[in-house]
Amino acid sequence: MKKRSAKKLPSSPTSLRCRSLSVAIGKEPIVRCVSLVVRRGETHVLMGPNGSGKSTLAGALMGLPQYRITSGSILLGNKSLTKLPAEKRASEGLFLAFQNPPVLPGVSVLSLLNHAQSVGGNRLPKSDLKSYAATLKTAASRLGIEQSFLTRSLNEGFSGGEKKKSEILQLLMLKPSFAFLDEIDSGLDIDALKVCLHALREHQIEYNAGFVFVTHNPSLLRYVDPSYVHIMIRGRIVRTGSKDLMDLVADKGFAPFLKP
Amino acid sequence: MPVSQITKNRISRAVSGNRLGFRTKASELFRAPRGLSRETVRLISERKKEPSWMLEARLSALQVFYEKPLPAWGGDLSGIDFNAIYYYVKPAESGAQRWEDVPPHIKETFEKIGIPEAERKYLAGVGSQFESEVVYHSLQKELQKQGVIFLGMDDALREYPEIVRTYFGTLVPSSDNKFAALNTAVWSGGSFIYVPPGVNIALPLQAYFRINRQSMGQFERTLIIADEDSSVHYVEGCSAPQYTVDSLHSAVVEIFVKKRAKVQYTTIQNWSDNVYNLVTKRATADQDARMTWLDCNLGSKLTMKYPSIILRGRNARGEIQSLAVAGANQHQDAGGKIIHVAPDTSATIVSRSISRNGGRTSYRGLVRIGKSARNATVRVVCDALILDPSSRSDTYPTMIVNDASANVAHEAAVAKMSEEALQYVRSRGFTEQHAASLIVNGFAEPIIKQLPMEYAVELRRLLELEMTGSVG
Repeated sequence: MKKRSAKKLPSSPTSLRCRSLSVAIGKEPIVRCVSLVVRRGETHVLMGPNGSGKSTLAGALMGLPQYRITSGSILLGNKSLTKLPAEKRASEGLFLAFQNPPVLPGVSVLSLLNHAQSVGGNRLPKSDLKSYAATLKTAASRLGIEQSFLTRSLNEGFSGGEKKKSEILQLLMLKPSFAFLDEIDSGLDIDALKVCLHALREHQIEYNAGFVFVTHNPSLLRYVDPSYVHIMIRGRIVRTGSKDLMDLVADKGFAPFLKP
Repeated sequence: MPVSQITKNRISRAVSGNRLGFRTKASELFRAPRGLSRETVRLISERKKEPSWMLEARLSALQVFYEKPLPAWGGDLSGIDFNAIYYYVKPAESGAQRWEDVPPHIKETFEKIGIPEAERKYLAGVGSQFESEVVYHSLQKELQKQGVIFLGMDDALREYPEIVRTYFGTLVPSSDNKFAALNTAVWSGGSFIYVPPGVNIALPLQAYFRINRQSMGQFERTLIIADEDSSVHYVEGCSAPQYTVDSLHSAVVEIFVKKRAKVQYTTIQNWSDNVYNLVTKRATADQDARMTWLDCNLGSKLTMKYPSIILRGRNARGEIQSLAVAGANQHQDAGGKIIHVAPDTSATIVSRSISRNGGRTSYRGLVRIGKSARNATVRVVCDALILDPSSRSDTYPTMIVNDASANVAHEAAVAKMSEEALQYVRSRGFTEQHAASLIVNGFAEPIIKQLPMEYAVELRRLLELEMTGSVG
């Protein structure tokens, strides 16, 4: 596994950037002229009150069609992703851990990932499916996921925590270069959160991945060490700074950023 | 590996767009003239050297057929021209006992369907219907030793006329419906199974049916008797070459499940989409018996099929599980009937349907709980998945409950393919078609996973192929 990724790394783009990106849901503008650069290996935290447009930005970067890009561009290295559908962006190495992943009756995380291997094409030859299954089991146990969980219908009757673990498991298996983790801290109890963040951190180091954590909860920052913290208010990034920004939010909330 | 070979064969046919669009030249020994008449019926019976009671049954059924109108409900049957159909074709080759004796061009047909491998690898016995006659029939020695009778229906009538006479038409009389009457009048082929008391057949018994003559009706008749404490699983896989002239398939299946016996009857129906598939299937379950219909309908122009179970012994259990997939120009009108007449009986009907490309699925079900059926329990679940705005799904449930102690539950849900689910799967690297295929397979999985393994594999692949070729 390490060998494979080491081979892959030099050719992979080193940055994901969006330039003056505006996004609407239907006709309503949600994200307004946001520019952001995420380099591989970096950890970003995108914070803001509910409804500030964080999830919309993450969804638009992933290419979900309900988030309509009205202007601006998304670049992976030199390649424009702006017009690519979600599946192409996924095969370019993007991943979104959903805040509320939908129920997929009869589709297990095992079959989703198995099929993702064959559909993605460039990842694993079929002969490696056995070792792939073994890798999956290892990854699952790292997150404290029981084997029986792997064959259950995705998100059907999952607890909040199970949904998050399932999203992180998919991330670990699909090995994206850049991942957006939307409210990964909600639903997980503190011990499970630590376990998950630890697994993510190890993974990030191993694959030199760029992570963007989306949250409104500053306590997440006790367990991640962000390179940058962005504050998003009413669709705009109003402040970018270091970890200290989080302390400010923890202390005073978003009020200091609300004034124009 | 045999299983993958079977799958490959079937997939190559599915890919070519006309499921099973191949035809093998069959040299005919005898063919009755087109159309239906007393003379045709006499001719069939005479050719088969049947006992006179069977001829009489056929003739009186023909009268019923003439008198009964076409059903005014269900699907559109106006396209059937009863006078344009051949009701009996007998291939030159008559029943062979050993595989070596089967003529090469018939073997070739079977190989395309995958029968030899299926037999060698997986199945305990094979009864295959080629055109209207059972040509090839084999039974593993072990079964024979156990006293199991597994024969073509024509052979069974010759060799065990008294058993056949005792049961034939007692569960599905010709007066039941127009197509049961038609079948009784002109039936040919089908399977006969008798399982003696206490005998459990571990592996599924299997038969393949094919329609190989343009505009030829196929009217097989199947009779299964599971004696006390016995068990059997019968698998029927249907496929037909594609022709331009409409074909008619009208079968009757009667199953008797005696005390404490267990029967499962599994169907995978994949007729080409010009076939009218009008089938009457009925079973009775005695005390502590268990009957399961597992019915998967993918093909045909119109299918009208409602497997039924009469729970007539105390604590009998019945289960009807069905999957229907309707594409362009297809109507699957399917469901099930459960009749509770004894106390402590329980039943489940689970129906899943998928309509796409303008296809139509209907669930039509009947649950009847009689006064004598104290403490009956029945659960009906029907789920429909509609893939595009031009497709359609309807539910026609009927419940008649005459006993206050009954426990009846009915759940029905119609869902459009969830855009959210589709986008989620796409974000994991799936194209729109592959994402849709994964979701459809997931929807069908609760039914598919109950099929014998090789059929499950095949059906999943078929669904995948149909989906990836049709969406987007």
